[in-house]
Amino acid sequence: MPAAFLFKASSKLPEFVGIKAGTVAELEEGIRRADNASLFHHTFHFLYDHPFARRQPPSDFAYWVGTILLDHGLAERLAAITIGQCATLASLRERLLRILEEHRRSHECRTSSPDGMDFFFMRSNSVVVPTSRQATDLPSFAEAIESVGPSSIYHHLFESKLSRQDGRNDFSAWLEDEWNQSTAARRLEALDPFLMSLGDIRRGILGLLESERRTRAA
Amino acid sequence: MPHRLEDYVQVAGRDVVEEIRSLAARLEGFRVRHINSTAVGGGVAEILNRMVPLMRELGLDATWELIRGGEQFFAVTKSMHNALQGTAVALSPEMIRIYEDAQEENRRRLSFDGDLNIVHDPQPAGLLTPQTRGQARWIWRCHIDLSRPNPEAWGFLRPIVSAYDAGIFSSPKFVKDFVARTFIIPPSIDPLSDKNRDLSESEVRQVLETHRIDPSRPVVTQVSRFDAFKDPLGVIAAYREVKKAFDVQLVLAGGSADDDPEGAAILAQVREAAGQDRDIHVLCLPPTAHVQINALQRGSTIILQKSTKEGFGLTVAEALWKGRPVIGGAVGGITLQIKHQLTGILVNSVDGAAYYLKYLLANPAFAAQLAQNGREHVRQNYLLTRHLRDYLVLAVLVHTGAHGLVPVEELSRHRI
Repeated sequence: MPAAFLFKASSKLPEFVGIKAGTVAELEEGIRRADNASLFHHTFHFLYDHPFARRQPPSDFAYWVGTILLDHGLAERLAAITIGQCATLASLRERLLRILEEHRRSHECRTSSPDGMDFFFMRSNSVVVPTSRQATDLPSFAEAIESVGPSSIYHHLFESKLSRQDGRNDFSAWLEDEWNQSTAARRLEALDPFLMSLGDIRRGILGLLESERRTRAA
Repeated sequence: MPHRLEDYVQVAGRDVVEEIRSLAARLEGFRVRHINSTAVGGGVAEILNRMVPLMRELGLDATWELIRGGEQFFAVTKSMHNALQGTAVALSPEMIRIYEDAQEENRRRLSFDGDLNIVHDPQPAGLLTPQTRGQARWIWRCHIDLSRPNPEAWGFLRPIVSAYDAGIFSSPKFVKDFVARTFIIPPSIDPLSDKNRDLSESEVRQVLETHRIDPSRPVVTQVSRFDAFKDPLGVIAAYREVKKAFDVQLVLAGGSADDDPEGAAILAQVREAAGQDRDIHVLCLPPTAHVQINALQRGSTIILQKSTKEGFGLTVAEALWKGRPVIGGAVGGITLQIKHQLTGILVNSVDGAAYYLKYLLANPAFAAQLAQNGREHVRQNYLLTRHLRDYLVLAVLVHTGAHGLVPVEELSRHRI
C-alpha cells in the first residue's frame, strides 16, 4: 500500500547574516563566506515572496548586478545558470564564483552600488509545519496540488532538497517511490523555477500529472 | 471590536490562517510580553492593538506593557529618536539621567515574567539589566532606520541594546549590527481596519462627491502629511505637466497641521501652488478620517507617494492594497514595497513622476497589471497575518536557538 503524501507548509523568517556587498568583488567574497541557507535564500526566495509574479531574473545576485551595478553582461550570465543542473548548493556556489571570477578578470568592474543600495546577505529560517491536506493516490495528489498554499509548493519542491540526501524534491520522490511514476518525477524535476512563477509551476505540475494520466489511460 | 483570526481567511487565505494555527499549537501558554511607550497613536501601538488579541486567541499568554515617563522623559526620547536617525543632537548628562531614572522606575513597576520579552524602540530599551533578565529571551524591536545614526546617540544606546539576545529591524537597510542575531520583520497593515477594508462603490462615490471630485475623470491622489519630504509641491508640478495631455484631477489629502507649525507652512505653500485650479483638491482631514482616506484611494486612477526621504513608508502598502497602480519615490522602504514595473513604479524626479503618470494613463492594461501585482505583493508580504506568523516563527527560533530549515518534528526536542 503506497504511503500517503502529507503536505507541509513552510513559515519563513529572514535573518541578516552580517555580510554586505557594494561591488562585484565584495559580492564574490560574500558568496564565498555566506552559508548554504543564505545562498538558498537569494536563489529562491523571490518565488516564495511573489508566488503570483515572474521577475527576470529571480536570482537576487543577477537582479542586483543588473539593476543596481548596471552590469548587464554579468547579470545575464548569472541569470542564465540553470538551477536544475546544479545538484547541490555547493555546485551552485561554484558556478556563481566561477562566473564572477572570470568576469572580474576580463572586465574592470569599478562600479559601486549607490548609497543604501548594497547587497545585504540574508538567510531564510523556515519552520515547517503540517497542514490538514494529504494525498493517498494520484487524483487526490492533483487535487491537493491545486488547493494547497504557495508555501507548501515552495517547501516540497525547493526547500525539501535541503534536507533530503538524494537530490530529489519531495513530490518527485513520492511519485517515483510510491507510484512508480519515474517519467512524471523526472519531468517534475526538470521544471525550471528561473523561468516561471510559483503559480506557473503549480499549473505545470497539474499539467504533467494530467498528461501522465492520459498516457496511462490510453 | 477586535477581529478574530478566522475573519482574515477572506483576505489572507485559508492556508495562511491554518499555517498560523499550526505554528501556534506548538506555543500554547508561551508567555510573550510586548513592551513599548504608548498605547495610542503611531504605527507600533496600532499594530500591537491588533496583534496581542490575536496571539491570545491562539493560546499564547501575550500581554502588552507600557512604560511610564513624564514630559521630560518623552522630550529626551524624542531627541534620541531623531539623533538615531542621523540628526545632530547632543545628549547632555541631564538628558541621560532623565532617561536612566525612568528606566529604573519602570524596572521596579513592571514584572518581566515572559518567555519572550519584546521591547519596542529606544524608549524602554534600558529595562534589560542582569537583574531583570531572568529566564526570558529578550528581543529589541527597532522600528527606526539606524543605518546612519548620530555617533553620540548610538554610542549611548549601543551598550544597552547589545545585551539583547536578538534584534528585529523592518529592513536590512535599517540594520546596525550589534547582536548575535538580526531578524527582518517589516511592518504590516490590517486589511480589515477602516483604513483598508473593502468599501462599496456607493461609499467611494459618496466620499468623492462630498469633496467635489468628479468620478468620471481620472483622479491622481497622494495621501500624506504636509511635509517637505513628501514633496507635495513636486506632485503639483508633475500634475501640471500631465494636465497638458490628460484631463486629470489631483487630490492631496493630509492632516490638518493645526499643531504642527512646519506642516502649516508647507500647507500654505501647497495652497498657493494650487492657486485657483479647481481640479486640485487640497484636503485637510482629521486623524480619524480612515474611511474617507480609504475611499479617496479606492476612487483614484493612480496613487502617488512621491517622497524624497522616507522611513518604511507603510502608506505605500495601504495604497497598493487598494488595487490601484502606485508611483513612489525610490527612497527608504518604498523600494521594498514597489518593485519597479512589477508591483508599481519607482521615480527619482518630478519629470519621472510626470512621465510615468502619463504612461499609466495611456496604458490602462499595464496599469491594471501593476495594480493587481501590487495587491498580491501586499497580500503575501505586508498583511497583519504575515506579521503575526513572523512573531510565532521568531518565538520558535529564538527559544530553541534553531536556524535554517527547522522541521516541526525537531521542535519536540526543545522545550517551548
